[in-house]
Amino acid sequence: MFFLHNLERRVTLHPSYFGRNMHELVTTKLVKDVEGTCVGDYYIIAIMDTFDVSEGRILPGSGLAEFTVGYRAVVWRPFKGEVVDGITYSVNQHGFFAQVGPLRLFVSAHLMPDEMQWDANATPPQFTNNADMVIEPGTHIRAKVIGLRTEVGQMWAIGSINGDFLGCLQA
Amino acid sequence: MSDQAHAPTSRPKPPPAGEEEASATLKLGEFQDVDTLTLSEASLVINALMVKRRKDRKDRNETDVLNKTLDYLDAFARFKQKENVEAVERLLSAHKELTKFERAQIGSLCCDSADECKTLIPSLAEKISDEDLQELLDEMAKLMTS
Repeated sequence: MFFLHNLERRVTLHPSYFGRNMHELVTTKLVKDVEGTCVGDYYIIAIMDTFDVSEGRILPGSGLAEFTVGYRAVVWRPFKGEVVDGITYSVNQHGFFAQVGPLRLFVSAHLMPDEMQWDANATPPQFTNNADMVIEPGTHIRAKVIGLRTEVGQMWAIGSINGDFLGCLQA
Repeated sequence: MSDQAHAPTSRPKPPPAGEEEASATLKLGEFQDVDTLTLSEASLVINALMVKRRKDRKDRNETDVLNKTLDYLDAFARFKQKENVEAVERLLSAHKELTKFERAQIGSLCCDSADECKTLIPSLAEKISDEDLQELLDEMAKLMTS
């Protein structure tokens, strides 16, 4: 789920940058440091603007100036139980991986409807129920997020397509 | 004696992690009241931001995360035209009984029937009648360009 979130961060600036465009330099540094990272349990996709740059405070002992910057960013956070769309990119006999925005979602073979069987002989190897649903690299799927694991800088998730209205999307 | 008068003497206990979920009840933690974006709105916002950065000749900072997100949005954003996205936003905001999260999910998943919508977004179950929901989905379907 995409959110427009107000966040705050402390940015330091080296004295060689003190001068005219300090606010702009602070914003640039913020963008370089924070955009595209996975913070805690959400991804910061893009920073829109800064709405509050505090006065700079010189850090005792190092001479760097510290600014507390308030900014607005587009963040993406998955929730347990949320239904998301994704594109399959890798399939093996234990399940498949789907790309959901910046997150890699794994759907295990156990969390698929019983009719979906692994077919190793097809080209490319795929899951199919021999009727209308085929899951191979490039298939659009709708899955429910079952679990999330976060570590500093990365997130992993598992999902399920075993439910009403989940599974392949008729694009 | 109020205990707000002095600076905190210990780090406050962080909110328990791992309880957030979006099933029959919405427990969104720190995101409970944050503005949400449907996939189509997010696509508009991020693309407009990229255009603005290109115009100002600033570095667009194309991180891996950003590129993956843009590809994902290109594939799944159902409403491509700006006017349609705004019209959908107006339709959805009219339903004040739904939370921001639920409105954004409805706008992103674009279900065909009220039953499908209520199955995929379980927290909707008691909040809106099937007829009202079906009417909303039909209005949205009219705005969807292929």
